[in-house]
Amino acid sequence: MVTKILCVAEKSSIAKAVAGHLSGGRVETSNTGNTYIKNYKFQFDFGRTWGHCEVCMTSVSGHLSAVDFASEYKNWSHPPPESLFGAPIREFVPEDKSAIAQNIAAQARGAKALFIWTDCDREGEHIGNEVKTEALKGNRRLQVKRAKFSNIERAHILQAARNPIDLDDRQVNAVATRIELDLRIGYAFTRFQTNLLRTLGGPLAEAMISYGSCQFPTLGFVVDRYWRVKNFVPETFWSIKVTQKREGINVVFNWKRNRLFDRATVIILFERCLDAKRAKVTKVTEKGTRRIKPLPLTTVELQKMATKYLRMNSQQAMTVAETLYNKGYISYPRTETDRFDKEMDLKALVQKQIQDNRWGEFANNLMNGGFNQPREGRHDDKAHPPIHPVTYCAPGGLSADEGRLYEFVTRHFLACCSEDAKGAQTDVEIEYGDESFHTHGTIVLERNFLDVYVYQNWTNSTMLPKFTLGEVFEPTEAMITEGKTTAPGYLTEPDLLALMDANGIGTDATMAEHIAKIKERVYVFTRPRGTNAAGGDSQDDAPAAGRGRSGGRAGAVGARGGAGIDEFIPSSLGVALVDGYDQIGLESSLSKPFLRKEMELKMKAICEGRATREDVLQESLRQYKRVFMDCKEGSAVLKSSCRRFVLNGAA
Amino acid sequence: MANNRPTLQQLSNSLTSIGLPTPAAQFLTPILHPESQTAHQRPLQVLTATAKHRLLSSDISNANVLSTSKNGCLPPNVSNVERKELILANDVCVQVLDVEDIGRSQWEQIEEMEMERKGEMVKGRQVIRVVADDLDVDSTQATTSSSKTSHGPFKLLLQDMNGNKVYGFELQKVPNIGLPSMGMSIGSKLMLRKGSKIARGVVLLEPKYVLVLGGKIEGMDKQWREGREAKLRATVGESRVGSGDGA
Repeated sequence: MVTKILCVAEKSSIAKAVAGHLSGGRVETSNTGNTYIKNYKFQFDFGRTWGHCEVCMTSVSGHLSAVDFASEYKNWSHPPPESLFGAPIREFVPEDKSAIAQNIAAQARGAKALFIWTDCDREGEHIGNEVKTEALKGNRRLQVKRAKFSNIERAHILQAARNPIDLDDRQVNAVATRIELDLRIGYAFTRFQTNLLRTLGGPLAEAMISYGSCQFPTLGFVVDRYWRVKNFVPETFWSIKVTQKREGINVVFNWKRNRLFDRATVIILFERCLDAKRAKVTKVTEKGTRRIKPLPLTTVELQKMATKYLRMNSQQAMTVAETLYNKGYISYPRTETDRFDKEMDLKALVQKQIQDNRWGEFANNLMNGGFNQPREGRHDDKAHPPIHPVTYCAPGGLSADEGRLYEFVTRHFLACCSEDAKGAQTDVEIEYGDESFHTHGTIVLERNFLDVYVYQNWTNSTMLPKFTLGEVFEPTEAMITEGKTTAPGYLTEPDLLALMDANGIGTDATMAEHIAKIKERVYVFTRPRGTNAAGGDSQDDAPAAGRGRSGGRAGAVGARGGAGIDEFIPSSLGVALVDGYDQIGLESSLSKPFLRKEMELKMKAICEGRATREDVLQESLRQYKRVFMDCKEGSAVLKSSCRRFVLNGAA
Repeated sequence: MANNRPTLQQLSNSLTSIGLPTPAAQFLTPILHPESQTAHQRPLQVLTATAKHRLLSSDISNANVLSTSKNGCLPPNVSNVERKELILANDVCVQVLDVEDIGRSQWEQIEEMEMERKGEMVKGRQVIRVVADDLDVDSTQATTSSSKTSHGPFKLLLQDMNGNKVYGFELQKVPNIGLPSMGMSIGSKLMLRKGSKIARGVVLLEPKYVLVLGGKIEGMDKQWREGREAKLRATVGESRVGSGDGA
């Protein structure tokens, strides 16, 4: 009798694609109790251990089970919300998933083994375990394996099918822990603040004020920046600019001090420059400079760049990336890895792109000697390679957004395989009075990766005439310039993603969801930037920001972006919640990232076997319960913040 | 037994030999002849350390701290903005009454204090509020822009033993000059060397002409720290109305 094997993927599109590859096209398709899910039957030779088998490939649709509190905890006010930290919870298959669960149990009967084909990440591992649970209900003696794969390209899939591994229980446990914590903490705080604030009436009378341990710190970043923009006070600064006209070129020398916030001092220094009459060239250096090619693409970078260069929001970008992955065009889009495995045949991937009429020639040049091994970042999640194109896709085959994102991934990949752009930079430094000034000129010599990476540019600065070391000259002009500091810009999506990433809020895979959530909850709004002055310090006619001191701290991120990009503004409710919780206790305010960051680290510890599910649950619940009790005690403060910002509309 | 005791002259010399100004005799006497009889037989080294500490903690504008005959003081026209340049003819010991970081906007400094107050500067509790965007930075800039923590230049308000005041500007980076949070307290003593330049009423501080002796006047330092934020806010508020001139 032929061995039967059941394969289950995370989504129907993956089941279909994998079945297509394994079967070579000879598939028998049948319907299941769920309209979207099909069973694909075919023959496949799994090699060594399993040999020639009869396969049924089907799928789930994300998580198969859910957790909830027992029915006696359904009431929002009784028993009180804090009881949810310890209340019994049950895991069950929701009604809309029961047909899927039944299909899996039915197909498991008579099968020798179950191969799990869920996505290879933590969430996928947990879904795999849910599939296992349902399958075992149909067949106790089933052997369980999982396929390890990171894209839907044929050879890769065949390889994965023949080399299955075991499910990783640690990852399953980490996700189970996260789900339980989110349930308890989310419900407890949501009920608490909703019950409390509804009593204020007005617009809050029927509001549903949900809490999430990632959403609140995310909201916290938006509100923090909002206040920094609102409270900002501009200040005047002064600078000295020296100009020398030579060979018909006006060479502007910038003050080494960049700028000072004390006019009297600048005037004194300026006078001493003028009194010195002549300036002396103290340094002339010519050196090679380069614009470094990008690092291999991670999820966070993909999201940041898609929001910045493609005008998609991070959630759209992830949805589109997933479609491209499901269609087999790009590798798995949820990855933290920014280095390619040395074993990977990157040239073969480049080769596939030479047929394109936009970047084919560039790819062809890489194949003809231009190829360079990509840079290696420091992150490796050991599960997936950086995001890269898997097969070539002609422009016609995709929707507009898919096409643009595929183009970005491909151009990014080709840029990684190219070379840094190279230029020559001349630096000239002069001493004038007690002060130093400098100028520099750049000439771009080789564009290299920039030729394909159209999202970035690098241009020549004005040519510098000849200056000789030790030479003394009388500057054509010297003047004091004046400027004003300007407020930072409101947060943009790339800023927000960067902050979440830096502060350990959410995983690369979930950040976009949290951002979408706080918008959906109307804790924040987005609007196109440009409605307000964009960030950075306006220099007026003062010299460009000098090295190492480019304006206020806030300017660093806010300065970039430009028109068309969305910025985040908190709603009055968003402001009130953050203000209220911050006032209750800054140490562990819910708007601060510490608690969540800690939780995120504990999940990692479970995955690495350094902590158990029980330990983490106990510890995290104790922490959050303590914060909960503090908040309960400080509920008058929270109410007064809401009264102030929401009910008076003053924010 | 009194034979072993160092003389006033010896103690005074011992102090000037380590760069300190000459104290007034009245200042040294109680150190040489302590009321408590237990401290009798202390060697010169110990007495020097005691005297140094007391001197650096004293307000030199009080009478009987520094010797009026043996120390230089600021020339009477020191603060005259009409004088383009003036050179100090002798060493002058001064104390720091105020420090301003004029390389950064006051608002930036206020925000930093706010973050400190919120506990966001404490290790492990930092909230990262700004992430540098490294995308468009080329390699040369990336390596030179790491000087985030060193601020300044600083503008100081200095006072000599006669109570005369003058501003000082850090023309070149002087080690140990900074805000009290960076180690230079209010009341800290500086020795301005003969040859120091004074331009339009501002002493131009350069490492070769200034020696930071250190020290602190406890009450003044405390008051300065407590009043700093309010003072910055007040100045910023003023500039909002339009005067804008910090001098």
